[in-house]
Amino acid sequence: MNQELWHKAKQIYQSAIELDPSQREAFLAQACAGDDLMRREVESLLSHRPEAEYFMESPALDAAARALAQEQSPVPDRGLSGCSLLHYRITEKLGAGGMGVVYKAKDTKLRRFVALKFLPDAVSEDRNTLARFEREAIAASALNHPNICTIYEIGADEGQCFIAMELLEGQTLKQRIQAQPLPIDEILSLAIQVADGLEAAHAGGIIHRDIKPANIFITNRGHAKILDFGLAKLARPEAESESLAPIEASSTRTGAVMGTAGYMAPEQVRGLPCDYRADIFAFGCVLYEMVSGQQAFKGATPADTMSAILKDNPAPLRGLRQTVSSGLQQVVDRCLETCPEDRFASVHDVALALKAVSSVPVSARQFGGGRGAGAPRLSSALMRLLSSVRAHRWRSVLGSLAVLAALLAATLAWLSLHPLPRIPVAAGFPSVLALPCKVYGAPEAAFLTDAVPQTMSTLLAQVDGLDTKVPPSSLEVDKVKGDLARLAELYQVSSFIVTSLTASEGRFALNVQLVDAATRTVRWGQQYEGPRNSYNELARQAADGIRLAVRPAATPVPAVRVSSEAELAYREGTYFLYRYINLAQQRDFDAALAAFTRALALDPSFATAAAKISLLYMGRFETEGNARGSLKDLESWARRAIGIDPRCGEAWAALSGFDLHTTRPDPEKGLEHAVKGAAFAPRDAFAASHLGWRAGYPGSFSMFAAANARAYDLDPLFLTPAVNAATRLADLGRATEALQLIDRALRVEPDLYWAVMMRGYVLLKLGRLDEAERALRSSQAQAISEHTIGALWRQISLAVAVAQQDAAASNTLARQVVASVLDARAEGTFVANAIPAAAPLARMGRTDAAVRILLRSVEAGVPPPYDFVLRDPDIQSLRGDSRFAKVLAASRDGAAMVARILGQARMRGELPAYLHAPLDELVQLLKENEGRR
Amino acid sequence: MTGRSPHVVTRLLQNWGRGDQAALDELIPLVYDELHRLAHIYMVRERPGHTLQSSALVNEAYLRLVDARHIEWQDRAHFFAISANVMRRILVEFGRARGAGKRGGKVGKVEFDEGRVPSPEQGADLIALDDALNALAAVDPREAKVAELRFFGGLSAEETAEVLKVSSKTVLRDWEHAKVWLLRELRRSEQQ
Repeated sequence: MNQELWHKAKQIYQSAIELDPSQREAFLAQACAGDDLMRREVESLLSHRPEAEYFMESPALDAAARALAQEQSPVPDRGLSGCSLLHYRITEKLGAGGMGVVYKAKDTKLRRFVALKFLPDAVSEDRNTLARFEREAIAASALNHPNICTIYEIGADEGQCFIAMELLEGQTLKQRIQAQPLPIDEILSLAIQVADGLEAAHAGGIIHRDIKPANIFITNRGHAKILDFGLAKLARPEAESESLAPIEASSTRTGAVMGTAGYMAPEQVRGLPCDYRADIFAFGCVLYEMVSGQQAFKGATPADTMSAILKDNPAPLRGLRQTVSSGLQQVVDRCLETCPEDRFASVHDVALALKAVSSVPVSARQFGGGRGAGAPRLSSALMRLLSSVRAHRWRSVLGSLAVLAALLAATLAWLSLHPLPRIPVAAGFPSVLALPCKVYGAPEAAFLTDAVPQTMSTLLAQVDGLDTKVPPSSLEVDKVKGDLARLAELYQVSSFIVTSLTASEGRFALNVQLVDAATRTVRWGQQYEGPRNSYNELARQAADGIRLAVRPAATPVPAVRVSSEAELAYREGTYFLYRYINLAQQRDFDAALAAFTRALALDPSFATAAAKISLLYMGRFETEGNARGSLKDLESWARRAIGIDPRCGEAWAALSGFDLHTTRPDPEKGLEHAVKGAAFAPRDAFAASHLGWRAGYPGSFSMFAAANARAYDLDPLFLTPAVNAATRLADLGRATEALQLIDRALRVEPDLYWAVMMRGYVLLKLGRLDEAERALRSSQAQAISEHTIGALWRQISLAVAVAQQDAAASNTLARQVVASVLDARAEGTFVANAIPAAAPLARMGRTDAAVRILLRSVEAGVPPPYDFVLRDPDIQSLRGDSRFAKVLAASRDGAAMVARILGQARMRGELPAYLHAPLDELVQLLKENEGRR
Repeated sequence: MTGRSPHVVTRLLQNWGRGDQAALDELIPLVYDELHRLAHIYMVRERPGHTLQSSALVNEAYLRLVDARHIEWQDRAHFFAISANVMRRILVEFGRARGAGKRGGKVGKVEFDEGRVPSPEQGADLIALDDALNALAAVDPREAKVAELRFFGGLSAEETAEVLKVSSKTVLRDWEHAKVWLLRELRRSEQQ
């Protein structure tokens, strides 16, 4: 299409999408005016529009990282020994390699033993990858050469994709090198064999792309066989441990990206197209390693290794093994030339050269010079330098704020001369939101960006008749990229508090403005200055200034109880805690812990500082599991905070979270703690969300949804509770409401993949199957770890497949879902999330599987919510199963307990308002179904 | 703290922008490290219920690689443009390396349920996307730039507008069209 036509089509398309779909046809007829080609083009674009909604919304780096995460997820051990697949009977497991698990099997047709290699799920489940694999493998199977492991067949059975190949007995070259140094004669013999095999492959137009010692097998008879042709182009999980060899971590990690770090040609590293000469380079690396016993290129990290490939000359072989002939050194050097043109022209030439070396040990033949002097080595310290950049993504926020600041500066100058008359406050409570503070000064002052709005909001929260929102952290504000209108809409506020602070030499200058959210005009502004240790007083004066501007009749803002230094340390800790929870970096954890500890030392009665330490350990547990005993620290710090102040809500909420994460959750105690948490910390989104969990399992989805929706109201940039609430509302048949909620959340972060996935579930419940399927697909959430988000993806896919009556997909997914939930290691929260998967299983007639999932939830201490088991139409079909009575009884007993505890809390005045109606509903449900088991 | 200048990547990107090819060699491992770090977090941080999953993670990764805060205002646009292009080169190669070449081929001997289980698409299709972007650039260079800056550079609409010296509205209109057009191209290339 030429440019003129292109732009016309684009213009028509852009006009068409602004119209109501019903008007488009008439518009197109008129705009294209008989130009059928143009019309078809625009219509074709329009037809792809719904699918493109989330397409490319998540940046490329993210998409690539998730693909990588998928590849690196451990290959599950299929435990297939004793099974039969097609005409193969599996006898034993031989090992697990980079491209999957290998079994020995008997081919019952041809009565021979073969090796069956099962591809990782990531490959088997992706038909595109599979198709590529298929194509490559078919090509490779055509290679019939004594030095290439023969592929007999590519097959699939029950969704398991495998390759049947020649069964080899012996060890890999990697194992051989590790065992003991190879004699030069043997090296030459093996190398010539490998070169012969490669030559045959190259002649057939096939490049290996991942030649390395682990991919070369030496049979017990001393034959070399190249393995895994065609596999190099596919996904490769992180661990490439052969069953017998120790895992060599440094050489494996980057294997997931391209080739294997230590054996990649420079052009591969650089991102240029590569051809058979990349194999020659890799071959050179292997040869080098055979001779010297060490990798030609090896750094502390894969990045170092890649950098070495680009820049360094490997140490001369002579220095590592004195008996190396100059001829052999030259062959290696020529293979390792940085520039492909400088390497041997073909593997055939390599073989010839090796044969020459082999026959004339001290050959005088010259094969060209070595690599030129390399550039200086890029040190690993430099690689890590990036992680020392203290940064949060401010550029976009600052972009908008900078404009605002310029405006403010001008206004401020005017204001100092012309104090504004007080603005009459509109009917209803005025509401304010403090935005992240712009901080000028040393990098150590970065935490003030969050500290200033938080301190001021804490103070303003005490002002009667003023609705002060919990301020979002700078990381959260980043989600809306400084879009003030969006913030005003999300938080429903009438005014923003915009601050800037200059920190220098122990002094603070704090600039505060009150900005009308609708008009962006400055309503009030003032500057406060003082030494660092007057921070609390500066903040108090600023807060009181705002109080005077909007609620002059209210009581003045009281002084802060703790010292300024303790307050600052606490805020600093909070800043790093939030960074740690979001970014999972150890140094943020350390900084947070140090700051909270300092706050406690300055003020031993600072209970919330102790509570925040327990949250820090919860974050660590959720990041890395309990390897470092995080749960124990979580509990002890929560208890310590409660010891200081029994009304410390954050600590009670943390304690409740602790219980949920233990292997034996105590539903009653956990709920009591959660109630205290939400009652004593009514503005804490985390505490509300926790209460939802504890009043949901056991309890009701309706309480789960209400508490999580409340958590989202408290922190509209914290999307997890919104998504959780929406999902459970959908389970209750309130899918329209659920869609509104999840769409609101997605407006904040349109590329939040797991929210996109959950939206698919909501769409399914609305009967919009095609859209549901599209959302699932575009979320790419299956790329994420087997055990959690990936598992949720499969559960939702199962529900979609069942609704679409797709038996094949349903069966495959059902098997996967059931296996993951029944896994004894699955945690309580994971099992709880899987409860709704019992419904599609029930619908497809898998009664046993459905009941077992529900029984598993009972056993895991998270019995199914009572409203769900009583009302979900599919679940009702399970009533014929004798074991279902046990599920129903556990659900009912749990719900009765929840009703009792919450009823008592209501009597004490500790039940949050948002749970009153759902509690009444649960009590009613219990009454109606009394005696029904 | 290592005591080195925190602006290594910035400097490398600027050098590359001035034609220093070696700078790219130094950038590749830095991007790959970041990629691995992100992937690792994705793998470990997956507990349903409480985790704060958010794009902050990705934003942070971009910021570490492409930090424009220390760039003079007039150079920012140029810097963003360079960094988006570098990210494109490196990430497309990532896609190429993991074998996400052209798709195709009916699955022959393998009888596999191809109808249902959806496939990871965006990650694997970086090469096809790269080709499609080149085709787009031939007819509509600005729209192709918009897509490159947003998708590969991780820029917001406002930042993209700043680079291209057009309004945010224009960027959003181009972006909408580019996404649909590129998606259709990918679907077509799949069928070949």
